[in-house]
Amino acid sequence: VKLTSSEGTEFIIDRKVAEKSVLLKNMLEDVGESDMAIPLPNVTGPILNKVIDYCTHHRDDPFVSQEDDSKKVSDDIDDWDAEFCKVDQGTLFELILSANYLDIKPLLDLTCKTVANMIKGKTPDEIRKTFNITNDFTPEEEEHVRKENEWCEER
Amino acid sequence: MIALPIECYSAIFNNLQNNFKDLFSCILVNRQWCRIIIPILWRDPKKYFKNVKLIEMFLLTLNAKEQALLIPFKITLPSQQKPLFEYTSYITSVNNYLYHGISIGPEGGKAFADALCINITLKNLNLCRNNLDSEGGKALADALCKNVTLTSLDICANNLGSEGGRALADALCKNTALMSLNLKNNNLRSEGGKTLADALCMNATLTSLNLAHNKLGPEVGKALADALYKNTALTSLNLQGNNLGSEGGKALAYALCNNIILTSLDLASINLRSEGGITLADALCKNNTLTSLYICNNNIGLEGGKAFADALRINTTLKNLNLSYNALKSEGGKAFADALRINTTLKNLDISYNALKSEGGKAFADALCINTTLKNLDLSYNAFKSEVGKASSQIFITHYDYRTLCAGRMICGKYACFIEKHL
Repeated sequence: VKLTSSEGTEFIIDRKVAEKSVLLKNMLEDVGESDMAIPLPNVTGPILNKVIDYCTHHRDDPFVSQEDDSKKVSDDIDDWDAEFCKVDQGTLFELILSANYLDIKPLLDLTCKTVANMIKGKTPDEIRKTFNITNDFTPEEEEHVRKENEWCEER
Repeated sequence: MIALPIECYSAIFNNLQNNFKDLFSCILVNRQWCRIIIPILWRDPKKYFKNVKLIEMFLLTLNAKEQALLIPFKITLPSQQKPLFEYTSYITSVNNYLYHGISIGPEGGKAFADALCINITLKNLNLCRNNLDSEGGKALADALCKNVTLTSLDICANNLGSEGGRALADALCKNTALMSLNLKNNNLRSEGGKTLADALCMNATLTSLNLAHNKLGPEVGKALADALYKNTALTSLNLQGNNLGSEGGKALAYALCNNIILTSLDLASINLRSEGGITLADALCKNNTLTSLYICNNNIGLEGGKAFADALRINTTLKNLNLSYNALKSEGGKAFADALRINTTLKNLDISYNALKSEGGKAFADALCINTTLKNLDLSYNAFKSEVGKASSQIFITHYDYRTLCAGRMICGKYACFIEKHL
């Protein structure tokens, strides 16, 4: 299967690897085998490379249904996956976008879990700093939100 | 931070569900995060239902009519301004913490029923042990005819009686949302049980039904068997502790031969005896959907045990089988051990409390050198070396762990030795 990234770089991968993406799987089922490259205008070359790495490593994993998935605990990231996610924040978010666009549920879960783990145990200020977010609350609003939800701070 | 679509944010924050402190920090980050996380934070407040500050928030969201209902109770309503969000509309689960320690009774049941008629967000409701009685049960049943969102209702131990059971049966014929219903320990009796069984012929959404400990007799077993021929949705059925007897058990067994939906069946303590056990074991040779079967405490004896062991040689779907308390004796145990040499699907087998002697234990040790799929074998409380009085020490033999310790042929000797030593 041929894929082209947003800059026009061509990637050739196994059909089995490509089928980890539900989007590509459906496309391939619709058009059948073809020499035409599938354009992926939303994914850059370096990111597509990472995505292909992931899909190749997990090519033989069984397809996880929604039901089994809900049972999984949120902390179980295996070594390979943890290493895979040791990238800069920009890349991590690009991976989330691509996983969402290409519909690769396990990759989306993994990357989202990684971000969630970055949030854990931080104060609102620390979270803003980590992700470079500006606080757009008015002081009154912030106070309201705090007061109306402070029940969850207690034991 | 680059902008993500809302569904990606939700996927991230859903990982923090139940980490209330982290979610609280997140809502204070900025407006966008706040809007996305508030519904996740309020989805299932669990133990916080008892929190005074949360209760104050609930009171603030009441409309004038609802507030008027509270006047007789002399509850001072908090006087803050209206909250920023419709917080209560995000709640999907109400559990027992809400009324922990108090029983809401039939009146409380009716109040919940009234709410269910108009509520469109609640998915899970737990009203266990609340003395709802048949009145409360009927009110909830009426509500279920109208409600289209509740997927899980737990009303175990509420003395609903056969009348409450009948009302719920009527509701199940109309309701198309409920997927899980727990009616354990409700004194439904055969009359209530039969109407519920009939309802299962009509209902096509319920996937899990718990009717354990309801004084159901053999005729309910037959009615449920009839339902299993027609029903197309039920995957889990719990009938534990009902006196279905070998007649009821046999009827269910015949139904299992044709059923292709049910994956979990709990028939513990239903007095199957060897006759019911043999028929059920035969059904396992034909059924290929059931993955869990619980037959503990049914006095199926050596004959029944042998029939199950034979079934395990043919069946290729069953993963969990519990046959504890069945007087299998060493000979029955040996039959299972032999079957395990052939079976390659069973993962958990419980043969505890079965009066196996040391030779039965050794047969398992030998069989486990060949079987590679069984993960847990519970042989505790058997009569291995009972003369030493160690029979009562509960030991789970975890096949995997042991496998890593020993290799090849060594396993046999060590395994046997392990059993000798510890059981």
